Amino acid sequence: MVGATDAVDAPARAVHGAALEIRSVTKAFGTFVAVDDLTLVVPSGGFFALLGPSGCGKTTTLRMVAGLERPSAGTVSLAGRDVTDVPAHRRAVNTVFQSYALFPHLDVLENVAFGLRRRGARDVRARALEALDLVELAHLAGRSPAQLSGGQQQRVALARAVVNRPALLLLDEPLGALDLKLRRQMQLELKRIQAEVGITFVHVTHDQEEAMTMADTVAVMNHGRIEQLGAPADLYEHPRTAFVANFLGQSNLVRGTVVEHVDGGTTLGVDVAGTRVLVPAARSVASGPQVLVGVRPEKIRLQAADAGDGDAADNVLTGTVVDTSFTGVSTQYQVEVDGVGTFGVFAQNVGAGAVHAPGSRVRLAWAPTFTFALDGHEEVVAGTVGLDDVP
Amino acid sequence: MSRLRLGGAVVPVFATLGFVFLLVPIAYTVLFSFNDGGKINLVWRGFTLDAWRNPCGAPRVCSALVGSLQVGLLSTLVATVLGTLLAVALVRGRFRGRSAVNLLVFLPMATPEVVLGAALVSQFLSLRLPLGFGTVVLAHVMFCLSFVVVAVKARVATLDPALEQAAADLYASPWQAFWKVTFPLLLPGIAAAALLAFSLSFDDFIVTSFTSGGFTTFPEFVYVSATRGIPPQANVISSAMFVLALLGVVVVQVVSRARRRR
Amino acid sequence: MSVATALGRSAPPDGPGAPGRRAPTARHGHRRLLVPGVLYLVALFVVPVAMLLATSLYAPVPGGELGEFVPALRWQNYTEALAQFWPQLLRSFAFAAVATIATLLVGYPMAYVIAVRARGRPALQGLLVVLVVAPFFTSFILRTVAWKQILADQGVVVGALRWLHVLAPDGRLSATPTAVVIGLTYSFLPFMVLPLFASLERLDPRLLEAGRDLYASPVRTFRTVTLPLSLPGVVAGTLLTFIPAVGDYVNSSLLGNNTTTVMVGQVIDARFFRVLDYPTAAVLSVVLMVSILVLVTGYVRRAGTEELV
Repeated sequence: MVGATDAVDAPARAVHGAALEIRSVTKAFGTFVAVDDLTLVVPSGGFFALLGPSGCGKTTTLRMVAGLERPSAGTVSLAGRDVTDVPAHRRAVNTVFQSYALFPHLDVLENVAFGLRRRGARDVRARALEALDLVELAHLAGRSPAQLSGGQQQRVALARAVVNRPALLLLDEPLGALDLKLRRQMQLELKRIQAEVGITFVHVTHDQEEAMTMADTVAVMNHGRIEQLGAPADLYEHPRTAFVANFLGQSNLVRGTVVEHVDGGTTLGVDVAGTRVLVPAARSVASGPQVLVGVRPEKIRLQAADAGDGDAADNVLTGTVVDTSFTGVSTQYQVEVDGVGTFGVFAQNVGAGAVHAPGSRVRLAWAPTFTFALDGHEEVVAGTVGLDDVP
Repeated sequence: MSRLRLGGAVVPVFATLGFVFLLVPIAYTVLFSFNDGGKINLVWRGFTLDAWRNPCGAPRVCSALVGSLQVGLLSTLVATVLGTLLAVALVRGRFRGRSAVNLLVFLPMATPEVVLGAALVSQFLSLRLPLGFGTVVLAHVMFCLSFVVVAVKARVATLDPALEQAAADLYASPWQAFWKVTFPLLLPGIAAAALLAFSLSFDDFIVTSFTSGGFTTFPEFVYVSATRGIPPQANVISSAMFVLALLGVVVVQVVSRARRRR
Repeated sequence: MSVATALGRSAPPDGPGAPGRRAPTARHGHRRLLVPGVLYLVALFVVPVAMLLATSLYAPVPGGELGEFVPALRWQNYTEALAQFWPQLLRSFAFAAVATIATLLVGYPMAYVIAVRARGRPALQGLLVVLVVAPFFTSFILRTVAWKQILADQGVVVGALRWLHVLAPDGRLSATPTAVVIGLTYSFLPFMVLPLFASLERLDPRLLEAGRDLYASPVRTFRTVTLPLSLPGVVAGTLLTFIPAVGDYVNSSLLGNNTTTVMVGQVIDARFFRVLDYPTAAVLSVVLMVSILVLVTGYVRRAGTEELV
């Protein structure tokens, strides 16, 4: 797998700098704007995820990078070269399609060799077998795609793309059709292959766990725009919009008003339904006094309301347990917090501490450093899914 | 309970009558190919294999047959090529005027053959084109085209568009994508369309009679002979074609089923 | 790396003339594929039909020979031709309508048996479909001539009908309108059965089960579930039967007589080749074509199926 590529058919490869640059790209289908003035820079060599719910424009963006759609406005550049007007069959980009799109009339080997043959490469057979080795399917080279399982087809599709050594590899929700265990396996496989081959992967998915597991950088998309971009941990711990806070994992968001600045301005005191909650100023992206205070469910500790112990430095709210669900790894509580609404709390199952039954009065405590604040104009439910939502 | 069973039998009974109705004239045709009725062949006189042993015995039977075959093959070829291109463009392309083209393709099918024939022959006459083999082929291609488009369109619609996109993604120019991916997958549909075109052309009478001038096709020969008496050789040829076609269809069915099972 | 700002900002107007906009791609490649086919249809369908329209208005050369006409705008051609031949026109539509209904009545049970009763037995289905298509493989003319013999006065069929008192003792079938209609019904039966079969085949058997589950009798199930869902097939089949039947002249000339069964197709043929009266032939062709188009559009719109082709 390691080795120089053929000089004859070496595609444009970025050695340093950005692999992909999308500038002010808009795509409209009639009056529907799928991608809205999007600007994105994907650094070369890593695993990049484009994450968002259905209909947010991520697949359309991917297709514009592949050349299968033309932007209504804006430019797409690969390794510094403007390819907006270059048709798909002349771009050094390959795609793994959601439906795999394996050619039914060709066997596995010929499928993988397809791109090589079109470019007139040498040693086609050997290179195709090499790619099949990479995905551990060389023994199925003579089969037809219809005889393969979903997971195998997916790997063949990957081999078919990777064998061409593109500057950029695009993956359009490739794991969507696989069952859970297989999906997990393939996630790790894809990571391994990307590290081994070194090509920039751009992975489009609506599964936030998948994005966080696999990617070095994640861009969260919503309604045709990028909400936030960064490393998974960064996005998770420092969300900047309610959508990101709710879409990645779960958040408890509640409205409040900034009433004071303490500790020399490094901490904000926020009034939440009569209780004072401390928020580090560095974790607030609010522009005015109206804020949306947030804390992740796993950061909260539940204590019986009348229990004596408690860290005085903690933020504390009180409420009544409404629902208790045991999931094996953790216990998930729904707590009706006084004057605020419903909070979710995840208690890891370490065997310590009593389980709080529904109806019991409890104290929700968490360290202030885990609190973040969003702009007060945000919607509390942005990024969540309700029963009435259109799938 | 018994009413249900009786009701359940009604439909198959009617259907069987329908099939009988459908097959009686064919049985008659086949039967009379064995008739010892001389050139007129109207009344059953006795069983003989004479006509089968000498299928070209009657004058002009075989030349008419050859004429039909030539016209059929050439028209099928041209109509299939043009029709396939049209079908692909209509299903895959996104352009204004698509519904206009669809209408244009549909109109010949909605036009009675007399009108088509009259229109074509007016055109040929005004251009002072001599009526014959050439004009017949031109006419046949025209009315076969629509049927080919419809048949191939149905097949193209079942083709996953992602396949052609994948081909483009893998460096195939539109031309290469068509030949390496689209065409092989369309082949069964194209073959069926070609078969349809051939049978339409071979059996056509009305348009042919308008546009053929002195050139004779098999249906024309039969029609003209109808008043004088159709020679049993015509029955022989018709029966032979029937059996051949039947065998062909059966073979294709068996082969495709065997391939699917593998 | 810029990041989009907060929600709530509306999308910029998507109009022409905005700076930086590019026109959407036209699929030039696909458009090019159209050209040969469209050109052919224009040259060999649109132009001839236009030619026909023009011919329908030509005027005879005064004092000229048979077959000599000059380009003109003689609108009286229409009134004259219609006045002379409206019986044949009407008869053609009547015969075609009767034949279409007959074909539907005969063909529906056949299609039903193949699609529904033989479901799950692909070998049987295949055989039955082949039997339906089989007539195509014999000569259309020969089949019609066969009917002429079968319905002959001395034949078995007529004899049996006389014996059953369906026909009067001296009644006949040959050279009658009945024979022509029988011929028309027969000729287009496969065109009715195949679309019906295609439509019924797509019928989900679970819908029929649901009908039974909800207490519907077999007749009710048919009326409320099967028949409406097979409507696209019915529409396609009736159109594919009616349209060629109106213009047919093989059946009427071989199975009919010179007076009570003459259809407009025969008239057009006679006017064209025997009398060389091109304008009249053209007028009748145009009237035929236009009336069919009007009927078809009205019928299709009422039946509700949009995409026929």
